[in-house]
Amino acid sequence: MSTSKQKRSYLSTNQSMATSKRGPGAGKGNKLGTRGPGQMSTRSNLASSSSKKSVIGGIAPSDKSSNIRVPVQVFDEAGNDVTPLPLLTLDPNQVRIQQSNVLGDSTVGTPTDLLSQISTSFMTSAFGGGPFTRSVFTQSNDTMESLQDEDHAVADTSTWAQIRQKRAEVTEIVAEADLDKIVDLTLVETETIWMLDIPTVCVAMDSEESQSIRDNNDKYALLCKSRAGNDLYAERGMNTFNEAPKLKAIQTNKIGYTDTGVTCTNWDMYDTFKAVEKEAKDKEAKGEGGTISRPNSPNEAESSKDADPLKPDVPEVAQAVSRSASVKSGSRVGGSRLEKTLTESRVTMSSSVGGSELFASKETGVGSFQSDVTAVDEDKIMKSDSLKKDLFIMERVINLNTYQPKQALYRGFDIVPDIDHELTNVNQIAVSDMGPNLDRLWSYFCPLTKGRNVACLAWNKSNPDLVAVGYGQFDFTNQKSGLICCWSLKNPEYPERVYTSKHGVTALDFSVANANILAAGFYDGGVAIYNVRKTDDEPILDNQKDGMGSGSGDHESESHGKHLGPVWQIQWIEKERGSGEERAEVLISISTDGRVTQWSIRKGFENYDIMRLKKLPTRMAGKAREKKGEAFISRHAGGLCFDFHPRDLIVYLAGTEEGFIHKCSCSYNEQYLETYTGHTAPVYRIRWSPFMPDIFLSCSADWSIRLWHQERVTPILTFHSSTKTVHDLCWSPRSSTVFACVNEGALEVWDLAQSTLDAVITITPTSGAKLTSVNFSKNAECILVGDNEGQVTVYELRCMPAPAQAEFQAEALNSVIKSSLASQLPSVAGDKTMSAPMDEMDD
Amino acid sequence: MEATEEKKEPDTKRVHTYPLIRHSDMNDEMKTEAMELCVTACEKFANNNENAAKMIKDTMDKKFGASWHAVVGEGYGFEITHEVKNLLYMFFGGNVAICVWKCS
Repeated sequence: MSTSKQKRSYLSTNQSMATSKRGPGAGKGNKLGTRGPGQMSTRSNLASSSSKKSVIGGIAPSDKSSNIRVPVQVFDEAGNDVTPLPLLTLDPNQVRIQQSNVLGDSTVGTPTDLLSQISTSFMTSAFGGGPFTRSVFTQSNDTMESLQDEDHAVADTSTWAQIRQKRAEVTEIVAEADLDKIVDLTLVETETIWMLDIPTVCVAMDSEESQSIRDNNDKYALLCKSRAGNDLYAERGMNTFNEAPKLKAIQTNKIGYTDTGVTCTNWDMYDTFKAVEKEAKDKEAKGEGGTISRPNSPNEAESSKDADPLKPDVPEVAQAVSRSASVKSGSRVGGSRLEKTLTESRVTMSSSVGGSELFASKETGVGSFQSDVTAVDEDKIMKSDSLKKDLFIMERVINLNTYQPKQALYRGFDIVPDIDHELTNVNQIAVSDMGPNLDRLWSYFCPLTKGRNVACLAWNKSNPDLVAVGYGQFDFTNQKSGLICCWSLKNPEYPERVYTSKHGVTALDFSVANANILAAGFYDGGVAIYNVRKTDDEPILDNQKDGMGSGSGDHESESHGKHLGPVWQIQWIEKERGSGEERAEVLISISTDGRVTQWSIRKGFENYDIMRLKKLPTRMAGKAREKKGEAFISRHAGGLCFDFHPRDLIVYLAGTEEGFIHKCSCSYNEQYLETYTGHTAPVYRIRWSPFMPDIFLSCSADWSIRLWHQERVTPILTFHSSTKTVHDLCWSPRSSTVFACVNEGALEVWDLAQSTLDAVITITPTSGAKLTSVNFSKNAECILVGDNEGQVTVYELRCMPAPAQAEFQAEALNSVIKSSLASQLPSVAGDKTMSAPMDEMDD
Repeated sequence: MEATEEKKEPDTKRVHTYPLIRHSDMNDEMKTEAMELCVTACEKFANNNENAAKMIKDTMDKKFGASWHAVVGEGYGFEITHEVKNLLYMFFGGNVAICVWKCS
């Protein structure tokens, strides 16, 4: 069955080949691929239109007797011969012989013969035959045994040649022809392609072959049976050698184990890389042929500059890590190299020594993760400036984190609520309902100041966040050494500057012209000037000893003009000197020895008394009391405080221990312009109102605060609120009717617009400390209060009625005063009439 | 502590991309081979440390036998016991640290 089929298919193939030959323009790429067992199928292989390969030769006209075998040649567009070379070149003689037999055998030979012929020839000559594709097929070659190879090859080659001839004919027609002609392609269905054909090994019982197959099987069974004793078959056995086994034992070297550990972090990696870079640079510098003693090595200097300024500890650390024994001096200088960019030869030498140390240690490869930081290096690191700077920054950051809400309140910002902080569900009254109140923000306190009495507070004139606090005892009996601390808003934990002094500090003031100059007055009457830019403890000028170029060589005596008693107040005043000269700043101080002294620091520490406070005979109303038998200690009254008029810097007020307030002028140093009576005890503080030019406040040990007008000798208003000495007083810089005062037990904030009888806010510190000084903050709604335990507490003023506009401030105060005056009865002696002051105030 | 390749890319985002052996007590050829392997692994699995470590470990096992361990990461601390002359700790890519050691 299969036989006939194959025959048929072969013939049909021939026909299709013929058609293809006749097809016009079919030579474009009609490639015939023969495939399948015994079946030759045409397959139109449509080459791409762009390929203009021409296949020349190959198929001659179907003259099977001719021996022409034109080899297939493939040409590309340029006419180059790109014919693939055959893998196997057939012997042309053999080919001819085979060729002659082709047709004769084709009808006689079984299709299977043909099949195998084709297969073998294909196998051999296939790939050289041009760009044909054919499927590789395998088949059982059982039937080939009986046939001779030559016949196969012949038949196959001839058919092959046939094909090639046919094709050549076709292409020759077209090769020279017009390639742009429209080509008609005839697509023909190819024959079925057999991929696999496994002949059956089973045959039906009732088929024709069954009998022959059965016979064969019987024959074979018989053969197997007869094999046993047959002479034709002999048994033979083989055995491999069994080698003798041998036992071999071996032990490896002991595998040692060690423990290592390290922490892997990004900065470690960065540092290491940096160190490596630096070494590379050092290597280059060193390798440039320079001797060690080369004076100027710009590379070295550059490499030291290149070190990241924020991480100057790197080479120190790298040195520490990389070696365990190093030249002390070498490493020390090497470290300092970073801090100063020196180009001295000594530095060069040491740096290269340092570099070579690193190299040496690298070679040893001694791995030690833990940095063998010797004591030398630790010390060096600790003292390095960069560490200090970094620590400083860290300290600021931590403080900022801790105090952020408070500081925000200080500045008046809204507090950013802490997300992580759980809100305590306390039923709080709304803040606005509470009326004016003080909110304690923080306090400047550190162990250094513990137990010291805060004597004075002074704001820096140019940086309103800096405050200088002077610590000194008020009592004579309890004197300790003094301390001045400059605190910054940003760090409530520790002062930025600390200056110690032998005596208690009783007065402080920052200079206006040079904001880094701080003047201090001491309990022993000394006056000193500090430069807060420096951190060392010495004042730049003081009058403890007369050593400032004064003529007399008596160094042990106190300088001329030094106060004999504690300096209670000190202030920088800008004075207009004369025409043509610029305004100079002078220091004014007042002390218990009754002198108001002006100091100038142009040459040395000169002083000049601008006033001596004389005692006035006490004038009790209606009675002149004679002081019989009472000896004066001095003719001067001790001065405790003063305040210069804000507009008119010639005039100032001075308060005395007697309770008098004197208005003085710098032009006269013996006479008072005016004396104000009212207080019956030492006046501790006088302050002009910053809004109204004629009004001032004073506070004293007689438990009262008095409001004065400079034209009236008696006070306009008196405020009594407690039975304690009022130590300090301060006007609010924002609101003309608000001021704060401290008495020993409480801080009080008064608002005259609301009430002249009682303080609006009163706070008693819970610590039981006595409050000694108060000051308003210039750039915030805050008050600073100092007490006798060394704490300076910052309170925020809340819910105060908004201050009036600038032009109305004076009005507000004015109206208060008017109303209070109106309610007073006119007094007889020593006062001007009521109407007069009212007229003046009406301006 | 040697720096092997000095290739530094001008890319400003990644500096110090060359591999740098921070500590090692291997033989030289083992060290070089291990370092090459680590670099390959990290470059191949640039964003997957686990796979990089897996590749390193498997390859080291094949090449040098028995039980290797590999850690690839950016921030960790470790304390390990390792066979002598079989530890490599190196940096790569500016912020990746690889620690490879053998211990059965």
